[in-house]
Amino acid sequence: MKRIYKFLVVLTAMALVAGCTKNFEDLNTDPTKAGPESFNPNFLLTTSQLRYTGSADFSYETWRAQLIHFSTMMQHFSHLAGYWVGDKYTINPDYNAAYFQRAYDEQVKHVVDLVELTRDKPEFSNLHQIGRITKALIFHRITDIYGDVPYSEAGMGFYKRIFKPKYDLQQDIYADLLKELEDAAAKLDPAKDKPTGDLMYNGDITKWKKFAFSLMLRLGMRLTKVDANLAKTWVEKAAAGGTLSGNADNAFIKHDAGGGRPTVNRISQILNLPYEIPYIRWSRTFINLLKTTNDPRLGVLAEIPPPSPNENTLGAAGDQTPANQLGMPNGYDLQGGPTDISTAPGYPGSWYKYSRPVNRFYAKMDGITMLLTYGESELLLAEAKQRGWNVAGTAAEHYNNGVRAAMTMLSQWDAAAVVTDAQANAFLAANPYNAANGLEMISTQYWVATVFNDYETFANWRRTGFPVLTPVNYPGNATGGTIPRRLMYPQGEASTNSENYQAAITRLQGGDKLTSRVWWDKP
Amino acid sequence: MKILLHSLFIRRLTCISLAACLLVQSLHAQSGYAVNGKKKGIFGLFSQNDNQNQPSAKQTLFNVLKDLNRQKGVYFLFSDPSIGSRQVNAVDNSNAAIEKILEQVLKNTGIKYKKVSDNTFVILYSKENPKKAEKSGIQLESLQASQDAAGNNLVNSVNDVITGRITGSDGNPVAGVSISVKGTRRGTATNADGEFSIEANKGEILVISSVGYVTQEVVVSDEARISIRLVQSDSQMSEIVVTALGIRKEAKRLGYAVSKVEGEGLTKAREMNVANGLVGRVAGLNVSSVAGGPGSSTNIVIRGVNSFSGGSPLFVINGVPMDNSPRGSAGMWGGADLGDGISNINPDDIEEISILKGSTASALYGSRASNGVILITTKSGKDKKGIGIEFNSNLVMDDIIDHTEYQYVYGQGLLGVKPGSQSNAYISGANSWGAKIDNSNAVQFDGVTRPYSANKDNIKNFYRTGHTLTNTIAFSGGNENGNFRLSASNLLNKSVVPNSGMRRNTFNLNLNSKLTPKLTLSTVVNYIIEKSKNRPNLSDSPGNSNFGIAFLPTTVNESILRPGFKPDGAEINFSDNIYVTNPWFAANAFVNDLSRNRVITMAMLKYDFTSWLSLQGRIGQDYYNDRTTSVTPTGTAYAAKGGMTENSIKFTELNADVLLSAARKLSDDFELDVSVGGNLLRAKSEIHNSTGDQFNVPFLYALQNANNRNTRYDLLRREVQSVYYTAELGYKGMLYLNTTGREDWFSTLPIENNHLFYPSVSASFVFSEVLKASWLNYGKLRLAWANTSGQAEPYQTKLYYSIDGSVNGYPIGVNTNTNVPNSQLEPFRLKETEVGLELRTLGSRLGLDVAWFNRQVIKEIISVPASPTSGYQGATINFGELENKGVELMLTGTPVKTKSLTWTSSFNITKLNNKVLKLSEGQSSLQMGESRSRNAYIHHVVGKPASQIMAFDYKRDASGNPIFDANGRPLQGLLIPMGAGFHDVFGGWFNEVNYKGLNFSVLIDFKSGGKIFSATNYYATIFGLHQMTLEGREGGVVGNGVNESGGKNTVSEDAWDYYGALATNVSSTFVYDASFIKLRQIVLGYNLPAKWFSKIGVQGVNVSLVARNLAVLKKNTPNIDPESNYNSSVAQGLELAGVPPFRSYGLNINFKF
Repeated sequence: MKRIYKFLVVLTAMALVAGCTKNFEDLNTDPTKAGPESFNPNFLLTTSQLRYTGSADFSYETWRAQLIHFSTMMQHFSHLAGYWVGDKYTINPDYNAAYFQRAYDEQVKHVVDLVELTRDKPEFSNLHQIGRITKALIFHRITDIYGDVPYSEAGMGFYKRIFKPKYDLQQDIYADLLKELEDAAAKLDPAKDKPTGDLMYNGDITKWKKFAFSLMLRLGMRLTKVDANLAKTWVEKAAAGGTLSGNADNAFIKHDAGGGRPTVNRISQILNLPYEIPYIRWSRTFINLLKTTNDPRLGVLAEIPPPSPNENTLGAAGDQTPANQLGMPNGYDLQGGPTDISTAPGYPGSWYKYSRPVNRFYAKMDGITMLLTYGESELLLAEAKQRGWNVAGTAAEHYNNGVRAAMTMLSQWDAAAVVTDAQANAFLAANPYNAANGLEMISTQYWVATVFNDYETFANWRRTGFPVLTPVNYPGNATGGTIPRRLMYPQGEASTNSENYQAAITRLQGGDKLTSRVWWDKP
Repeated sequence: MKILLHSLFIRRLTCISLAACLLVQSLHAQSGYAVNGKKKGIFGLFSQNDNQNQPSAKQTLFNVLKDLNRQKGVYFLFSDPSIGSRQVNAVDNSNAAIEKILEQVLKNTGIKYKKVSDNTFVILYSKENPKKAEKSGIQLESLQASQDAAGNNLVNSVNDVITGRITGSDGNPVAGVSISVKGTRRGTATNADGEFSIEANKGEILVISSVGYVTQEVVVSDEARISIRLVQSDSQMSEIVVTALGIRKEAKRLGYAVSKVEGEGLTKAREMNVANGLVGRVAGLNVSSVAGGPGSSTNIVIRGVNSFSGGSPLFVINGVPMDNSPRGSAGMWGGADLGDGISNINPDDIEEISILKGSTASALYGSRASNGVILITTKSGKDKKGIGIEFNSNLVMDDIIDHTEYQYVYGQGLLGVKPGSQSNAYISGANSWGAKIDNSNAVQFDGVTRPYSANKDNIKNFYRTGHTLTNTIAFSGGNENGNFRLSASNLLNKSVVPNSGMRRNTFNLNLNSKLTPKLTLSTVVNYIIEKSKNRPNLSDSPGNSNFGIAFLPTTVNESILRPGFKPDGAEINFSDNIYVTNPWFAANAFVNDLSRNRVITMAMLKYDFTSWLSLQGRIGQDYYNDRTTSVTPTGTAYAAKGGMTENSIKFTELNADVLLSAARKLSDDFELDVSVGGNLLRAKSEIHNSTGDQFNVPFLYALQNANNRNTRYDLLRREVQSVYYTAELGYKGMLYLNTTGREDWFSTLPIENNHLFYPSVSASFVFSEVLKASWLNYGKLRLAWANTSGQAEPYQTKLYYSIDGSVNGYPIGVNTNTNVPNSQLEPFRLKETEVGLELRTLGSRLGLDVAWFNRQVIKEIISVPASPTSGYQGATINFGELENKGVELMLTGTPVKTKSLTWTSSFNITKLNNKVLKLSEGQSSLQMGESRSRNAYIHHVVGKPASQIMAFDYKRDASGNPIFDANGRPLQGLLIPMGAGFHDVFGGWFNEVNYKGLNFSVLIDFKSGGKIFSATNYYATIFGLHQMTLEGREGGVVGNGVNESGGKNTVSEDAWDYYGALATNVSSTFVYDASFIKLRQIVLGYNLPAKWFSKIGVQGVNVSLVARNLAVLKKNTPNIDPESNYNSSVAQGLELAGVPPFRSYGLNINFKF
C-alpha cells in the first residue's frame, strides 16, 4: 500500500512536469480543423455554388424569398395559405429578411474567402477569376432584391475586421460587378489551372468565359431604365465577348439526394413537403398564357394531380393533357370569407384539381437548379438588337434561338420532359417575332424561360414591365394592391448595423417598404 | 523574446516546484509511517496497532497502561499526551491491585497517578523531576503552582485533580474545549465525550474557552467534578468562514465580504437545483431560475452583471473547481433547458456554502473568479464519535400556477367568424379571432362538431401534479485519527409536464485521516448519476408542448388533442401552422433525454512541519460524461419522417495545486500568516455529435435507421498555470492587513499577451476592541481593493476550415468560424474597491452588515455581434468598460429571546447601480439576445445598465403622438432601450421562530427594477387571446394618434389586423415591469422528543412541513410569472412559452441514529 501510494505521488509529479512542457501554441490550435494555409480553396467554390441555389438549412430562403414571395408575385405559382405572403402582398418581416440573412452567411462568406485565399496565387489563377465571377453572380441577386446593400465591405469581418459593413449604392455595386466580370473574363486562361471544385462546369474555362459574358449581358441589360447608354456599353461588350452558345452551356447545379438537407434540391425539398403539396399550384396567369399560345411546354410543365386514394401522391403521374390544365388564381385563401378559393370563378370543386408542376420532373431531390441559360442570353440579345444596339445577328434570330432553347432545355430537369425542336419551331411559326411589340414578346418569353428561377423573373419583370400582370387586391395587403418592387431589409440590421442600415433606409424613396424601388427600377 | 523566455522560465519553475512539493510529501509520508510503528498515544485513548513485543525491563508507560486496560478494564487519562512515551518499570505482579501495580510501575519515574473513579485514573507528572521532562523535548505542564506550595510534604499537598464534563447549549458534549488554569501554563482539552481532567488547587481559576463559545472562568472549589454548559458567543466575533483556496479564517480578519449559508437551510424546503435555495438569502446574490420545469438551471449573479457575457460564478466543491455550464438551453429558436452543473449536487451533502462576493475575496482564484466564487463544503464525519447514521426523506408535490388571464369572449376562428367547415377550422386552428362564444355548435379541425364554448382550464388540465421524492442516508464516524462520511441519495422526480421527469443518484464519500501526527490525508469523492426524461422545449413552437397549450384557442378543449397522435402515429395536427406542435404530441412522442455520469474527486495531503508551518498538495478532478438523445418523432407534422440527434460530451478538468503556509506570532502584538502556492489547470472537452433524419423504418429511433447521417467531433483544450501568494499581518486581534497576488499564464491567449498579475489588498479593523463601548458588542470596518481578470475560450485566435459533407463527390468546404478570430487578444481586467461595516448592539441582538462596492470591467474578451453581412455572427475582441456599484445591507435581529421562545429575523437588500461605460470604438450598443418574435432584443447600451430590453416604439410625430398608416395600423418607430432585464434592487426577509421543539420559518423575497419582454403576451395578442384584443373586436379599432399626413387618425381597422400590426410593429407594448414580491418558503418543523426513541437507538427525529414558491404577493406582468426567463444567459429579459411556475409543498423527515 505504502509503495503504491509513493509510486502514485511520484508518477503524478512526473506527469505534472511533463504536462507543463506542452506548447501553449499547439494546445490552442484546434486539432479537428484546418487552417487557411492548408485548406484547398476549391472546396469553397463548391460551397459558394451549392449555397447560391439555397440555404443548407432546409431551403430557408428558397422557400421564403423565391417561392413564397417571387414565384407568386410573378404569378408562376399561386398558393392558398396565409403565410404565402407574396401571393397576397401581405407582410412577414422574417420572410422578407430571409434572403439577406442567408446569402451573406452562406454565400458571401465563402465566396469572399475563395477570392481572398486564391489572390496572387498562380496555382489558383483560374480559380480566383471564377471566384470573382461567382461573387458577382451572388451579389447581383442580393442587390436586385433589396437595393443598396453591403458589398465592398461585405464578408470582410476577418480580412479587414469590418463588423458593420456600409451599404453601398446599388449604382456603385453594379459598376463594380461589371468591371469585375470584364477583368475576370479577360484573365481566364485555359492554359492555367483547372479548378476541381466546380459544380457548374467542372473546371471548363471556355464555358466560364462565356458564362462571365452572359452574366455581364444580364447585368448590363438591368440598367436600361436607369441609364440606357451605360446598359448599351456593357451589353455590347458582353455580346462581343461571346455569350453562352447552346443549352450545353447552361449553368446549373445538379443536386445530390444522398447528402440530406445540405445537398438536395432546394425547391424540390419544399415541393415535397406534405403540407405544401396540396397548395402549391401553377398560377392561372401562367397556365392561361401557355394555353393561349399553345405553348408545347404546357404538357411537360403541368399536371392535374392523380385522383384518389391520395390526390397528392408524390411522384405518381397525373394528367398532363394540356387542354385539361387549369391554373389556380392568385390571392385566394381557405378562410371561408369573400376570398375563399371556393368563390373563385371556375372553381373546380377542390383546389386539388388545379394544375401543379409535374411532380416527377420538378420535385426530384437530385434535380437541377438552373442559374443562367443560353435561352435567357439569346432573349436579352434579341432585346439589345431590338433596341438598335451593336450586336451581331437579328432580333428575330436571337428571339427564336432563345425561345427554342428555353423549350428544349426542360429535358435537363428530366430526360422525359421533352419538347422537341419541331414542336418549338411549330410554336415559333404560329407565334412569329413581331418587332412592333418585340420588347413585350421577348420579356414575356423571358418570364416563361426563367420559371423555377423567380429571382431572375422578378428582376426582369421590374425592368421591362412585361408581361403585364394583373395584381391581386387581397384584404389588408401592404402595397395598396400593387405588385411589390423589392423585399424589406432584416430588422436585425437595425440592431447589429444600425447606422448603415438607417442610412440605407433614408436613401430609399418611401422608406423600407415592399413598394419602394431599387436604383435601376426607375419608375 | 525576452518576455517569452522569462515567462517560460517562470512557468517551468512553477511546474518544478509543484512537482517538488509532491515529492517532499511522499518522503515525509514515508518517514511518517516509520514513526507510526513505534510511537503512539495521541490523547487519552489507546490505539490498537502498537508494538507489544518490546523485551525490556523498562517499557513505555503507554504500553504498560494499555495492557492494564485490557486486563483490568480500567481507563487512564493523561494530563499531557507526551507522558505515554516515558520509560517506566515493567509490571512485577499483574495480579496485584491496580493501585499497587501503578505505584510499582511509576516508582522513581517522576510520574504519579490519581484515582478519579473505580476504573478511571489520571496520570500526571509529579513535581520531583520536571527537568527530565523538559529534556525530553516535550511541551510540559508548568508545575509552578505545586512548587509554590509550601514545605516538603509535597506528595501530601498534591494538587487536586479536577475532572468535569463540558456541554454545549444543546446539552451535547463538546470536544476540543480548552481548559487552562489562570496564571499558570497548565492546560488540557476535552475529549470526545466532553470529559477533561486537570490539576488545580482550590481557589485557582479555570479558564474554559472554545471557538464559537463565550470564554468562561470557574473558581475551583471543593467539588472534584464539575460540569459546565457553554454559551455560544457572538458568532461574528469568532465565526470561521471558508475563504479562497479553502483557507479557513476567522470572520473578523477579513477585509471583504464573505457570506455563509449553512447546508441545513437548503435541505428541508428544497429545490431540485440547490442554487435556487439561495434566493433571497444572501445580500448581493441575485438568483433566478429558468422557466424550464423542475431541475432547470439557475442564473446566479453576484453583485450585479460583472461582465458583458454574463457567466456563472466559479463553483468550488471541497477545493475542486466544478463546471457549472448549462447543458443545453433555450434560445429564440427553442431548445430545452437541461440543467446546469450545480444542480447535480445533493443538498443533504452540503455542510456550508461560502459566497466570496468581491474581487478581493476571490482574488486568489485569479482569472477564474471574475464572476465571484461560491465555495461548497460537503459534510464530513468530523466531531463524530463512533458510527452515526442519518436518514432524510423529503417528498414534495408540485402544482402549476396558471397566470394566464385570457379573454373568454371570442373563440377560435378568423375574421370574426367561427369555423364553418373542417378546412376553415384547420386553417384557423391556432387563432382566436372567431365569433363571440355562444355555446352553439362549431366544426373543429378534426371535422367533429362540438359546442363553441370556453375551456378555461386547458392549461391546468394539461399539466399534472408532479412530485419529487428524495431519500438520503448517510453514515459517518470518526476518532482522533480520522473520520469518514458516506452518503447515498436517490431523487425521483415526476415533472409537472406530462411524460417528463428525472432520476438522480448521488454518492458522497468524505475521508480524513491522520497518517501520522503531522501528515493528514483528505479525500472526497462525489459520484452523480442523473437521468432526465423528456426535458420540455421552451420558447419557439416546434416540439414545445408549452407553446401548444399556452395559445390553444379556448373553444378547443385540450382533451381532443390527446394523446397527440393518430392510430398510425402521425401527429394530430390542429392548425395549418404545422410548426405549432400539438402539446400532447410534443409531450408523448418527442424524446429529449439526458444522462450524466459525473465524478468529482479530490485528494489532499497536508504536512505540518511544525505548529506554524505546513505544506499541502491537492489534486482534484471534475469529470463528467453527458449523453443526450433528442428525437423528432415519425409523424411529426413538420417533419413526417422525423430525425434524431445523439450527443456525447466528455469533460475533464484537472487541478493540481500546492500551498506552503506559515503562521507565526511575531510578538505579543503582531502575527503573520503567509502562504505561497501554485496551480495547474488542464481542461478538456470532447464532443461527439451525430445527427440523422428521415427514419426508414418508422418509429425506430436509431441513427443507423436514419438517412443523411452526419457526425462531428470536437476537442477543446485549455491550460492555465498559476503562482500566487497571500500574506496577512494581524495586530492585537483588531487590525488585519492582507495582500494577495496571483499570476496566470493562459494557453488560450496569444503567446505574446498570455499572462497577467492580479494583486489585492484589504484591511479589517475591529474598532470595537478600541472603543470598548458597552453598547457596541462588535464593530468592524472593512476596506478592500483588487484587480482580477477573466478567462478566454480556446481557439479564438485563428481562422479554421472544415468539410461539411459532399455533393456529388465534391467536398463542401466551410469556414467554421462564426466569430471573427483575433490574434491580438489579451487578458482583460477587473478592478474592485469595497468598503464594509459590521455592527452589533443590544447584547448582539441587533446586527448590521453593510457593504459598498465599485467594480469595473475593462477590455473584456467577448464576442461582439457583427452584422451577418460581415460574413460572421460576431467578432472576438477585447473591448468595453462596465461599471458595477452597489450597496448591500443585511440586518439581523432577535426580537424575542426567552428560555423557550426565540424569534430571529434577518432582512437583506441590495441596490445595484450597473452601467455600461464603453463598448468598442464608436459603438453604442451590443446585441446579446433576440426574442422569437424577432422584434425585441437584449442589448448592452452605453450609459445604461447591462442587458437592456430593446423594443420598437410607435412611430411618433414631433409632439410624440403615435402615427398610423392609411389602413389605420400603427407604424413602427425607433428601437429603444426599455430597461434592464436584471433587477437592480433585490433582497429577502427571513423569519424564524423556535419554540421548544417547534420551528417555524418564513421567507419572503422581492426583486424590483428589472423588465421583461413577454413574447407570450405578444403571441397571445397575435392569436387574439389577450384581453387587450377585446377592444374593437366588433366595429374595428381606431388608434389614438395621427395619420401620416399629420391629421388625427380616424381610420378604423379590423381588430385582427390592428392588433397584428401593433404586436409586430410596436413591440414595446409587451415590455413589462418584472418586479415582484413572493412568499418563497414556509417551513414548520418539530423535533420529536429524543426520549421517545432512545430505546431504539434513535437520537433525534425532525418532521417538517415544507412549502416553496407559495404565492406571488405582487407582480405587474399579465399572463406570465415575472420570473420566466427561458435561459440563464446574460440576455435576461426574454420570455416565451416556458413551463409555468409551480408551487411545491410536502414533508421532510429526518432521523438521526
